Amino acid sequence: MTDQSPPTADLPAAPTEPGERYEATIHAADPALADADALAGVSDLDLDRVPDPSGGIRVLVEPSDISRLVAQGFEVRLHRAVPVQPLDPGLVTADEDNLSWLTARLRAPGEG
Amino acid sequence: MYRTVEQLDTVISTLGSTASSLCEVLRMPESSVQGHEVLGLKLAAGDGGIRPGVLLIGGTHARELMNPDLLVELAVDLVSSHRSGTDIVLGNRTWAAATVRTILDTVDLYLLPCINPDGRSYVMTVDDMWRKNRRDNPGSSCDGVDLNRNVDIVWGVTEGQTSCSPCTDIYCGPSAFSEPENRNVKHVLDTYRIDCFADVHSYSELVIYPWGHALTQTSDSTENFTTLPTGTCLPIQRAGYREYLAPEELARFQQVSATVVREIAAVRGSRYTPEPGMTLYPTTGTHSDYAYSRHLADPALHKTDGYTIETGPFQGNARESFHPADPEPIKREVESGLLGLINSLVVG
Repeated sequence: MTDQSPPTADLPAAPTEPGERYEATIHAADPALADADALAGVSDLDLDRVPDPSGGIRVLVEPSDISRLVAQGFEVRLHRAVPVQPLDPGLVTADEDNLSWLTARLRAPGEG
Repeated sequence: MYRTVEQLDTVISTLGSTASSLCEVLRMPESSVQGHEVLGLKLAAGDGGIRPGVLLIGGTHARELMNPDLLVELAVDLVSSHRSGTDIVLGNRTWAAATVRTILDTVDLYLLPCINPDGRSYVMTVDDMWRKNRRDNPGSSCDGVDLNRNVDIVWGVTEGQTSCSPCTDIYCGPSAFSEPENRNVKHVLDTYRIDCFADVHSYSELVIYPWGHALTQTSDSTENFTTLPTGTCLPIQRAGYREYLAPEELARFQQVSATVVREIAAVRGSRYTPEPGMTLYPTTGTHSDYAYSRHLADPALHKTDGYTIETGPFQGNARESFHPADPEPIKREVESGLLGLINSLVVG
């Protein structure tokens, strides 16, 4: 796991790049409050929530989302940039590999 | 590695043409919003007649890439085993050829490996974290409907992770089943006898059963979803509302989920967690709850048990979790879990 939490992002008015997006977790700004209580309203903020291994609130957010969250009193911890980009082409199956796999798997018994 | 939509279609078409005694290509009645034909498969051996049916769907959320590949590979493994009499070996779990033969002789298996082909293509060519379909939302600069918020179970109620805003990734759409990709799923449920349904998602290593919109209770059958208003764009307005599930139904969901968890663990020891959908986060308009709710909303409809499986663990970040560089171990363990789910209809 490399999910290290950088300092809280009380984000300044950072310049917004097209496709700029971050993976972040959201926390109660007031440490006296339990996250569960303080964050009850986060689900009303229409964010792209992704599962969090510790049951917290992990989201993909754009800079405008972050500003909104901070303005509403939440603490936002940015974990990494998740720029808008296509899937790594190295992860896409080649046509010939798909066909050769299929041919091998469906070869009749005893067929060479 | 992940197949393109065209490569998935090639696998499906090839199965239909080279193993026609076992496989029938199902051409869905509607194309995707961008005009891509959606293909499914029916796998069955032996005599026809009334048999239990299982429907497995994948690719609902575009970025959860491994699951369409998993479903076509499951089909190929079943066909290969049935034709050659070889076992399906998945890590430390071996599914004997005789068991596979019994499954295909007993159960009608329906697969819709990639219900959202436009989204998958968009992930591969533009944005690898895209979740929704590619609907051009009228009057909005934001595209897409979340296909797992758009079906007719407490639709349009913004409890938890559901929204009426087109610019969110959890947009429920303008009406229940507004999206052709979802009407295709409904078509299969309406047309064939489906006893068991699973929507395969990523990630979190979960086997999920009803309900997703509220906590479950087993004592008051009058407190149920048919009494809730829909399309309100508000959360459930009844304080303390909990959804009814008959005790024997809950017990069956828990028993079958435990079987799936056990069969996944048998491959390489991964520990999936069985839980109600609400535990992950509240949702409405989801496929698996809809599948199960159908017979409750309309007693004339056949009862379909509905599950969602969340494949794979958190891998340190969301991008790697949705499409890990090496999805093979995850696919193989979940293939075993799905065989356990299908086999639960054989062994009772």
